[in-house]
Amino acid sequence: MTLIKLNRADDAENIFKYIEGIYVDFFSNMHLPELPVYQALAKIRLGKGEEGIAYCRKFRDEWAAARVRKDSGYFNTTPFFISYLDDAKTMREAYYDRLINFADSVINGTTELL
Amino acid sequence: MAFGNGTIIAEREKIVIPTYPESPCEELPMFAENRVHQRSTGNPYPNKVVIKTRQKEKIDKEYEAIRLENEYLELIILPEIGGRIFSAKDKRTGYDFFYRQHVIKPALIGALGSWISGGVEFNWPYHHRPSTFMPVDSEIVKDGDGYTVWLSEHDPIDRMKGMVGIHLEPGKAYFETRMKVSNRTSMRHSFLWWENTAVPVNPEYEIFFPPDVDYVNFHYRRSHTTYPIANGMFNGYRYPDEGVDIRKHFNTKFSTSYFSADSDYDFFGGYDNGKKCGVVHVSDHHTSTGKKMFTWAYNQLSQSWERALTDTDGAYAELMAGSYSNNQPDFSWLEPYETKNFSQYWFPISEIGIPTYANLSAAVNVSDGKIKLQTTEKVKNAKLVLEIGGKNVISKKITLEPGEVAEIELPAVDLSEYRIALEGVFEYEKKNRVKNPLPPFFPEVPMPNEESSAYRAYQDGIHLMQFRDPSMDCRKYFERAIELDPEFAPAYETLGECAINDGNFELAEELLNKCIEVTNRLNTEHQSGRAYYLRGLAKKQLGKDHEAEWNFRKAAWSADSVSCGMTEAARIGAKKKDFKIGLFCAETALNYAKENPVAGPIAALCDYKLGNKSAARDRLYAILDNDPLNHLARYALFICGGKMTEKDFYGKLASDPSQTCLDVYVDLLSAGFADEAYQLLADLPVYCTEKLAPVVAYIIGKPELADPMHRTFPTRPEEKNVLVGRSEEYAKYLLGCLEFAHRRYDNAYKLWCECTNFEAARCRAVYLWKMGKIDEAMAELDRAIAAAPDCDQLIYEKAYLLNHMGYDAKKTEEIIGSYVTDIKVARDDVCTEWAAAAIRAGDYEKALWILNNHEYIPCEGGETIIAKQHINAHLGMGIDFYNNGEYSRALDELRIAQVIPDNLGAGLWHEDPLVPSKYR
Repeated sequence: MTLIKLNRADDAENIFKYIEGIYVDFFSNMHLPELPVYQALAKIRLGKGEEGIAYCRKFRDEWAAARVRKDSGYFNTTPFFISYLDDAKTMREAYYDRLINFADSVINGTTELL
Repeated sequence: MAFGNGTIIAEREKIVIPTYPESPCEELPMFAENRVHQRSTGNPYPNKVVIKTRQKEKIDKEYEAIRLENEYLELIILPEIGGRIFSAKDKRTGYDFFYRQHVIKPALIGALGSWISGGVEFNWPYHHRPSTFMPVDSEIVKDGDGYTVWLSEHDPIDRMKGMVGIHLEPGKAYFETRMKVSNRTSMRHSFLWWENTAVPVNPEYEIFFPPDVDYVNFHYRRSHTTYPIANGMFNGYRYPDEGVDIRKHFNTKFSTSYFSADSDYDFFGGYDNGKKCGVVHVSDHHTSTGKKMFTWAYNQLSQSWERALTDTDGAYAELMAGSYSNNQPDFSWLEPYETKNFSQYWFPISEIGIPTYANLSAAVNVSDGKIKLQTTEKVKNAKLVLEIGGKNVISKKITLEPGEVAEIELPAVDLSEYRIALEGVFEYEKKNRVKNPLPPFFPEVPMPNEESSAYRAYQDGIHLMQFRDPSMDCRKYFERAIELDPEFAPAYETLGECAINDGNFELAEELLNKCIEVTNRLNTEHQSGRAYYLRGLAKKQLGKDHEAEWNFRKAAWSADSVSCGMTEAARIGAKKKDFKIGLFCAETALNYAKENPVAGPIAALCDYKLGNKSAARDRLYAILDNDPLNHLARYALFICGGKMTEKDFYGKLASDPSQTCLDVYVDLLSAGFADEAYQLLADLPVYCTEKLAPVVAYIIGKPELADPMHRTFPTRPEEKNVLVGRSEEYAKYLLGCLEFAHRRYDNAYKLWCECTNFEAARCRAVYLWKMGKIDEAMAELDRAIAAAPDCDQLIYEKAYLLNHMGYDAKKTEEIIGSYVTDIKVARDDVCTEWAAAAIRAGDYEKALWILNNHEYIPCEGGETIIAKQHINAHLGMGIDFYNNGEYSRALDELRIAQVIPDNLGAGLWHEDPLVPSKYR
């Protein structure tokens, strides 16, 4: 975004392509959960608006489905010695609400990142 | 010293190693129910944990080491640090075939905190052994022509006995690790065994898996790629289209693990092409299925960890060899009173290059127009044959000393298929074969309510239980199985098992009654005796010995439960003073499992009580011949008047004497030897100077000896029995900890409410938070801090909770700041939370001041958290500049966000946390 403002659209395009191509597998819980939204934004920036929105909607739907799953213990794990345990349902809903809201802001065109 | 004619050294010696001292452990209990440690539960209870490092101070520290040395190999073993092999040298080449540390520099990687790299770490019962930085018991034993150094412990989580014997013989250029893992408890536990060898790596280093390995897995088998040329995606990274040869260490640019596919061969290893030296691992591929390399690779993360773990010894990778496990996590069961014996072998190689094939006797490399081979024992006039298409291309006699390299030139031949053999040493046949396809990914476990069949729900629950899953509760799957089929007996059985593990014996009895009722519809004689056995355990704990005995004897009708059922029946027999029955039951148990670690000593004690004193002692000597560190047998020998004094007995206890003695105490008490059990603990403070576990002090009637600094909390049902009803506040506090750890939260809270100590206030905060009473929890935490303002852990917990609950950012920043008197010495996690609060408050300058003025030491799992504070602070500044139209300055900040400073001791496992700053 900043490079575009600096009239360096080609450099910006390379970054958007890079973001679009990133892959994260299941293992790491240290990755960026909202990566798909940034990938959708990158697609839109690359002129693939419909594809970007569809991509974002796909993940939004997955997150909406994941939001209402019933946990079998804890919502997530931590590598730290944390004794303060939260209610799994509350944690799950908060986690997915944040992602869904971010996705919605792209789908609805309200984010400043567009 | 000159070696020859069978000379071998096996002796204790003092060595001095520069050491960064371990920090004291945190005194507060960690009820970290959902902590993950390498994909399995990292809940440390009943152990205290180390949360800090002391990497500013270095001292020369003397260690008692064990030197094991023959003509070819020199091994230094450190019983004080998890029984690890500290160094291993090939005396012919001078090459340290395992990574040789010159400093002890603990960092926060271990299950309980401290961990060091280098040498060989014997990992069990899960991942990095919880006791990796704790002492183990040791014994040097003459064993045939060689020596075995036995290193043993009762593991600090499950109390199973893990023992490795490092065995070296004269005339052999390899060493053996002989494992004897015993579940000396009445409940089954899962386990794995991985020998974690560090190897010194550089761009010339290369790993080799056997020739039938066509792919490698990542952890949990949810990612895989082809081997040796990796293609496609693996662990979040896409290899170039032309593929990458991942045998070459230099080609792995990101920290990762490669678990080899199952192989029909017994070997793998690593080789330094620059130094022309390497190491080969050999073990029976039917049980030692795990072959793995882990590397930090070449990036900022690897540099951070290198600084954290060594001063000058450089980079290392891990060649890991797993028995009863081929992945992490991947666990097998160790049934009650079961002992498993297995071996692995390691030997150095030199100029032969990368072996094409290896076994325990030799390694051979057939490539580049040459045969190069090296043997581990002397070979005289053995016939070497290379056969291609039914014709001998090479046929010659070979004589080799161990470690000597033979090099034979080959004529120009096609080596796509051949057979090579050295008479009496090895035989290998290379054949063209179809490559193994990549397997399906390991499936995900659905949520319990998504399970559609009782058996699948049950099976998934067993999986979670066996793999020690940190996030999913297996009980809910067994409950789901019953919901789907109210007569699904296996689910009642495992729920009963869980209830016993939780100390809920009434519930266990009820569930197991139901299991047996359903199963008995037609057959009262079951395929398995497990349900009767477990019901016997529940009844025993409820004081119903007569009914318990009936169940144990009934369990023993089935072959799978004879050893455990009859061991428990023997205890009850002895407790009733019916030593004939006790002896009969114990001997029956031994007939089915001759290395049952408890039945043997009980049989001896019964024999002794029956007046067969000599037979009792002989029985114990035989047990100790097989396992010199069976402490129940050792103390039984003392009771029986054998060659074992109190000084001998206690003198061998290095692995937490209080806990080891409590294990033996419980064994004796449950078999009716109450006086002997008491005396065992009463003599402990006389002969051992180590801190005394408070429960031990209470049992011996000397509560003044209860040492709050001891590293453990109570957990056993027998410890609960000691604590219940005691009037001391500290006893109530400890009982509260035991109750909370066993999920009886309300009971715990009531007990903690009777206490005035700050630890209890903090524990009440933990309870109240879990109950969703956030304000009350914070008030209790504040009370704890007011009473112990210097307790770093309390400050961290408050800082964490304020950020976690989204409390007013500015106030959070100020509150945390008010606790930090010196940013240089504040704890890493406190500074991280402080910076996070400043970022939430939009105070990016302050966040960067915090990050720039504190030196962080990486901790496993924490590297990214710290890096994210740096990223977010600069991202925030970049956004502010952007919004002000200052695009050049914005660009500068966004770029700085993507470069993690060294002082953070941080790094990224994946690049995607950089995406927001890249996008912006």
